[in-house]
Amino acid sequence: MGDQIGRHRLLRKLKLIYLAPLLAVISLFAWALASPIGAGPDDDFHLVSTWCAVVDGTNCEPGVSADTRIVPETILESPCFAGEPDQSAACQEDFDLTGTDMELTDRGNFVGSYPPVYYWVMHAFVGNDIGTSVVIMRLVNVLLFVGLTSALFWLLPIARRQTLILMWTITTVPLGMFLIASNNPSGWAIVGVGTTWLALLGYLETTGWRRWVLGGIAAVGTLMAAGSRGDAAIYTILGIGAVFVLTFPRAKEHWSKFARDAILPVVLVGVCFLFFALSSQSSSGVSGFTSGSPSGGPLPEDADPAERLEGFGRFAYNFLNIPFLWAGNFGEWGLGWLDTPTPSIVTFSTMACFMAIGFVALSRLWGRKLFVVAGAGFALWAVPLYVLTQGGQIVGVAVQPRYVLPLIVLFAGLLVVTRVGETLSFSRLQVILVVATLSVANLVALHVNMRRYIKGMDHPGSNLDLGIEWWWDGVPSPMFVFVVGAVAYAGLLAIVLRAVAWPSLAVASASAHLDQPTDTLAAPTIR
Amino acid sequence: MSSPVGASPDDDFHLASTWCADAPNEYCGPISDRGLIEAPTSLLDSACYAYEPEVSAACQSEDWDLSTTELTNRANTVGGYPPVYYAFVNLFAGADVEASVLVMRFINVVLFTALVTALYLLLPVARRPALVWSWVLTTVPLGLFMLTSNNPSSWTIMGVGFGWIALLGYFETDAKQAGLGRKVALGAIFALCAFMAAGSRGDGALYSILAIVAVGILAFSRSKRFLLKAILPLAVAVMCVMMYRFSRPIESVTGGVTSDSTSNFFVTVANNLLHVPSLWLGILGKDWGLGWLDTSMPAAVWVLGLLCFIGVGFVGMKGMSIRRFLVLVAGALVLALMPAVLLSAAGSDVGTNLQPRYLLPLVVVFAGIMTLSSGWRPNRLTAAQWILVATALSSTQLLSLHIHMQRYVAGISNQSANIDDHIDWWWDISLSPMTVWVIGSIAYSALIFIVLHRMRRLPVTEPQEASDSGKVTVSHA
Repeated sequence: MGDQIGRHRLLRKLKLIYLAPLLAVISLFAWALASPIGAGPDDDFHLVSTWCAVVDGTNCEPGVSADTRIVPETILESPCFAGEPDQSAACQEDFDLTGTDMELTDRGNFVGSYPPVYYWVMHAFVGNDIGTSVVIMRLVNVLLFVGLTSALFWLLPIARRQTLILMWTITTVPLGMFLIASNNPSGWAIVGVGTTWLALLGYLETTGWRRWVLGGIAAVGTLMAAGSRGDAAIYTILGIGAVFVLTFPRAKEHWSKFARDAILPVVLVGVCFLFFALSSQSSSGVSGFTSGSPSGGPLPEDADPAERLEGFGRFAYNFLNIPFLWAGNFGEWGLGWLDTPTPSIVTFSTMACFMAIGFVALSRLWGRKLFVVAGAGFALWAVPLYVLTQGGQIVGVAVQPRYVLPLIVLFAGLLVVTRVGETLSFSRLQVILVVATLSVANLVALHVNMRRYIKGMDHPGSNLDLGIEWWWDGVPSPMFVFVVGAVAYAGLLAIVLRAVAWPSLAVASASAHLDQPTDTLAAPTIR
Repeated sequence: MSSPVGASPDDDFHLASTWCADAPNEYCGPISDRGLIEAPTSLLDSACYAYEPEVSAACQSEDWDLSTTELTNRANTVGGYPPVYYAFVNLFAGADVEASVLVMRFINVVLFTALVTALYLLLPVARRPALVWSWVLTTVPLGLFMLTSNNPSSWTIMGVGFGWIALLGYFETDAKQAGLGRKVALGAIFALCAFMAAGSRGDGALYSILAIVAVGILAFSRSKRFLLKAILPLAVAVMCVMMYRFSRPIESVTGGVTSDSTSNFFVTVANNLLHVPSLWLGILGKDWGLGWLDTSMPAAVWVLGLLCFIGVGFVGMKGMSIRRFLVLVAGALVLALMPAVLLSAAGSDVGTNLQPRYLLPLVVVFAGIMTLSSGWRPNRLTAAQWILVATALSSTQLLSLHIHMQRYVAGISNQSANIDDHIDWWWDISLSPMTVWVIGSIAYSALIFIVLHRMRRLPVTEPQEASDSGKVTVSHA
């Protein structure tokens, strides 16, 4: 009898979890619709690169030299609102979305500064209408993310689900949501880095067909990461390295099997190196940005005297202000072209949730985990510091927070990882607090983002349907999209966190290894 | 010692009020009808470096001549502040301004140390973590700066921050079990603290009353014993109300209420609410600098501070009773709504007028209630966790002290690792700035590590919150 009740409860829980991917798509799609064409940072560059990924004369024509092209004028003018928060996207109202007028530009990925994969894949969705194409591309990115994550949820050992969910939960609001649902290759970098290491971990921990699918997911993740940004290739390598450290068997008799298992990860590392070497963007990472780099963001408030610092003083200033860069991923630098300021409740809430869960995660610590967490943490500090120092800049210019967001995701994942058989335990109140806080943060961020483009920041007022200066055609009203998106996200959080972090989990998982074949226990596990 | 005379916000006002507390006297003239007073010019001009972070304290004159006075309203002449704090520190106001100022600050340090030590020894053992955490999590860097300054906020923070837990201890101590002396001592400390708080700033009275209510809820039980015990806090609350009438703090903070239609008002409050967390983060050093809000701290300080507060607080969420949860929710609402409403009523936005330090006394109480159950096993911190917290706090302390000190010694543009490299201003003593910094930082770090390590070795006891049953099994050291 008790067994039947347990199974019923579990089935109910399982049924709810099937809703999760749908809710994720809805909440991310709301973000996709929340901003117009060209709203992502440097989107003029990225959209042009997408259109010109294949130069076939219809959407993109050769320019006058190797580093110029001729593209629809609309794309070049799309960020007409950038840098002016009071300016809504109304400046796009008269745009010709069929893109008949073309213009010459030199701002695009024409000489291979970015890896080509992202643009090449996105190019497949270029159509007659620029607006529709842009939205479809965003939807494709959203589906990719949700698809990969759902597959991982289903295929990974049950104990790893908590790692997967917590990792994404604490790192994506608000900038992650914005970027994943955008036309920016950073979206792929984030998804790719976060997916690859965990998929590889699952690959090494399972057997049978499950293992090969996980390996395939890891390969897809690698292609996404290394194929979108040069720095993401490095982060992926770091993630793979962390997986090796966590799973390397101490006993000699396991070494030959491990060596065979390691072939795939090593191949993936090679792919990363290839992409890194081939993209000249990587040279910025190695030798620092030059002054012709993307727009800087808000400076920390002691920046003016800091500009005059030199040598050790400048280094110390940068060293101590790197956390300001991290905070930029939690809303501190705003959204869009860093011109959509988010109120401090967003930054506070999202950072608090990250720290809360991360702190609890430290209760499960062992030698190897300490090593990889410390290593990732060190990278989080050292990588931006190195690039800034090489380029002679201070925190706030050149290096943008989103460049380190994939590394933050990796760090978060390593922080919350546990040995198979253990999970992090939370109380009901703790879970409820996190769900409520993040839901509010997402709601506020989404609202501010929408308001900024629909009416401009100079029009306060919570009703997005009043005073509309810009909105998509043929799409439900802004308030509808907002409410559905915000509610969907809250529902998603409630379902997934209940599935992996609710206190009754210990009872449920002990009795239900429904989709876990027993041979997983024989596979190499985290030591 | 890290900051010169006049470094805390509005110290021109506070120093003049200190020296003129018993005006007319040898330094100050009588108070005129319009609230003006003749006060020493050197005190009023002491903060010549305010708002100019590149100006070190060298702009101060070498000789503190108190004989030259000028007519001013920058002193506590119209009762904007209660008189108790000034009356007390006035006892140490002498002709040697620098020595007097240092003595007053030192007295504050002694007062703080005495209170925390007394409470540590008197409180039930299981309450010690809350005592420790409430201060440890909330005082770097702003709290440390204010507590060791000449600003009446120091007494408000101490009074509210110690008063609540003294009262809780008073309620939870059974005279038969632990001795009448202990109970009386706790009650006396509570009353003294409330007096300090209400006697230093008008809002101190208000905060004390809020703290009394919060503790009353936590300790409530439907018994005659509780009612008898409640006489003391009720009496103290009445005292606070009476002392409150000595000052009108809200106007002095926000400059009065503007009339606005009610629906507009709610919208303004809602808007301001979204920005209130920047005030909370301001306590940890984000955006709102130290000194006259002109000494800004790098991001590492507030991020590490937030990590400690949130981390320990989140762990403290386990083992939560309904009552404690309700008090915490109410506390959070107060911390969010109070600034939002006050600012909206004055027609201001978050970022002006209302400074983070006004919220600090309540935040100390909040942090304490947040960690009340951490004497229990489920909420113990692992080695990794407490070491991380101790390291983070030691780091933020030494960083903020260094920057803070160097700003006055040399000015912001002359920053270097060695403060002694460039000394434009310093006290007339044989210890160099670097020495003071090193000793202070080592002392703080040692304190933090020792105390936090000790918190882990507490015996596991079950101090049932007094309501659970008639019996209270509370153990004392």
